[in-house]
Amino acid sequence: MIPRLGLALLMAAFPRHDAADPFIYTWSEIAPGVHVGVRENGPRFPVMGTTTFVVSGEGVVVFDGGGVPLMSERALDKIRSVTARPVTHVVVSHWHQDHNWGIRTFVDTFPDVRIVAHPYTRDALQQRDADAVERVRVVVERQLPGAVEQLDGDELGAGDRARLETFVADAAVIEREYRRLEPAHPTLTFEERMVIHSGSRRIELLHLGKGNTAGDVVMWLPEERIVATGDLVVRPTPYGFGSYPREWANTLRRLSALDFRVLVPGHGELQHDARYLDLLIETLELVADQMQVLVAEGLDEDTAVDRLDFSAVEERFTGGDEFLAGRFRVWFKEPIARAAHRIARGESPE
Amino acid sequence: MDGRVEIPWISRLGPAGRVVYALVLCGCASGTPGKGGHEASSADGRDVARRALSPEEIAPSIHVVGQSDPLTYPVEGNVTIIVNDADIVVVDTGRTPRSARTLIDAIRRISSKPVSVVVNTHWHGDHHHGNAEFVRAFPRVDVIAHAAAREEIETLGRRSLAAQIRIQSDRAAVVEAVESGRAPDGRVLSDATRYRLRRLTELPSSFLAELHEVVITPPTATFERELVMYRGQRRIVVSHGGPGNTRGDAIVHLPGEGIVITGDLLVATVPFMSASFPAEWLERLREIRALSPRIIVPGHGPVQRDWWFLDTHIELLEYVVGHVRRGIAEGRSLAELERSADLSAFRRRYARGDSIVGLEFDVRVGQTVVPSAYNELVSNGGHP
Repeated sequence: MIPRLGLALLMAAFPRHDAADPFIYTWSEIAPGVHVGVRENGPRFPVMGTTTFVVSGEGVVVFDGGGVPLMSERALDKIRSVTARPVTHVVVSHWHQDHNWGIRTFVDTFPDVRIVAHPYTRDALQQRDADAVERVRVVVERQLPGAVEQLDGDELGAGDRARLETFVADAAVIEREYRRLEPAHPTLTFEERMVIHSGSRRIELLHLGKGNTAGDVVMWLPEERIVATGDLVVRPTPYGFGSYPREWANTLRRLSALDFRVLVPGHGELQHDARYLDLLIETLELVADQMQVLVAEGLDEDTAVDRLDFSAVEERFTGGDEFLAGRFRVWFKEPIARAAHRIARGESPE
Repeated sequence: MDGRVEIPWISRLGPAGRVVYALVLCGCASGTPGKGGHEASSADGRDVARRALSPEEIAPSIHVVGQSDPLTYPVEGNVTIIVNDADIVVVDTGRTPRSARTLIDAIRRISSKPVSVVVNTHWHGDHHHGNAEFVRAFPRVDVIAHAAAREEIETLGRRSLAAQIRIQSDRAAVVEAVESGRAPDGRVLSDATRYRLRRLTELPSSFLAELHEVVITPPTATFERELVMYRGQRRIVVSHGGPGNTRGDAIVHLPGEGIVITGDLLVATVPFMSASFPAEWLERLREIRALSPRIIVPGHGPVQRDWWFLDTHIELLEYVVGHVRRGIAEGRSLAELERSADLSAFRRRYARGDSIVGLEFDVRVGQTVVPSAYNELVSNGGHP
């Protein structure tokens, strides 16, 4: 382990990436009073969930309020730049912490803000956060030396080199954020549907079924025809950790039935039609169907995971790009296959 | 038509008559006099006493404000005040803005913490007409109810308020009906109905002004099945199992304290059964029973520490639902079912010798529960 002073010197030795840090939103107003902040979903570590906020006469409702304190602070800055009204609700789409680890900012600023989620999400955060916060404090410390060493060698391709250089440049900020985490947990849970009537706006929070996790919630604005999905939908390649393939496909069908004009994924570009949804449904059913057969044949997890064949769909996600193929493998193919095997064995995937 | 019965004579009533009948049916416009008899001449004096000003602390940090006499005019729904570490959650907000202001004063005497959430148990005005006052006093308060209750507050709630105002604005017409013993279309009114209409004309004179002050303030958030609020170690569980007293009934369960706040699913005088869903209601009461409540806060009447009312409501509904189901299966008409229903034993049990409570039973149960059950069950051949 490199002592902290050494760390600082090391980081100073590398040129800064042109963007200041990995926690920057790009904002767009997709309908009057509806703002979406996206942290681009490329190779930059760590990934951060998209934030959406809705301004109405009564206040502001935030969907996924930021994955580290700095993102939440920046989201709050953006909110304040468009309205003086208070944030009344922060919705937590699911327990993965890149969507909610910064939201204490909202609690500190608006003491009566409601943090809203599905009961499963609240339970998951209550059970997991303490350990996760401890572990993540040392992530940079643990990974930085290896990154530096690799950069010192000359076996890296250009893409990997750029990625590692960026990580090293970002390391100080990442570490600072990870060391000042103070998660805030849901104070209000609902099942199926909760509707917030804020001024003349109708904001529907829907639990359409299991999917990426057991407690996924989407925000649906029926009049504006906008749906924010959390990680039920992620572009360009989905995340499959601890997920429920078949149920996820059914949940996406219900999502499709919402007559949306704009779909805001948990990461990645906005969608204006259902084509990507259809691809996801096809892929998830492919996983579930294949795994059902493999498990029936008595194959163990490792073997079954190996046998799962994504060739019918993979290129439609990756377009042949090497980085995306790697992401698709590590963040989707492998974990979703393991999840499917566990489910087929009668265990929980999460 | 799907077989539901259009109560025959209401369709021949003019607007005033419908208003009167609607008020009688909905049972939410008024109450009854005290057990000692109707003190009509001192109605204004009794006005002051209509709500107990000293809340009862039923458990640490949980208070109930009810009427010292739940048969007082005008009827006020019970209000529960849950004081948490940093905020207060209130269940139901009273019958008029003036009544709500009294409530808010009482709350402020208990604690200076802000009310952050109001829960409305259902659409009857004596449970939510005070919402606007709470919003005024606590501008960021969330008002939560079941989704169907919100719709009903917007529709039935507005209509009911307008009807109450019309009645109070023209008591002469109602007095006429009471004295003649006949509805505007000439139909004879039952003793129970006449008693009830008389009570409507004996409300304090200030009541009309209070009604005019009501601004219907619908909930700001709704749920479908269950919504839980977390306050430190305390869980406040708001749930809806299905229709019952109304389409959108919510109960509030405090599992840590063993308290269930029932709205009008349970009333500790006589149940209000007009336009209700008896077969579903029976299921709701069984669900409440399955929670094993230590303390029950009814919609009206004293806080209960036993299950007498719960069990008696269940028995009453079991009898009526069974009677109506069998009758439908045998092809009997609503009129036959009403004639053959025998509620006399239940009347005795609820009335406990008090003739006024007996009349209340006639109005709120006797005249209403069989038609409600029939309408609920007939379109499905006897099943809800």
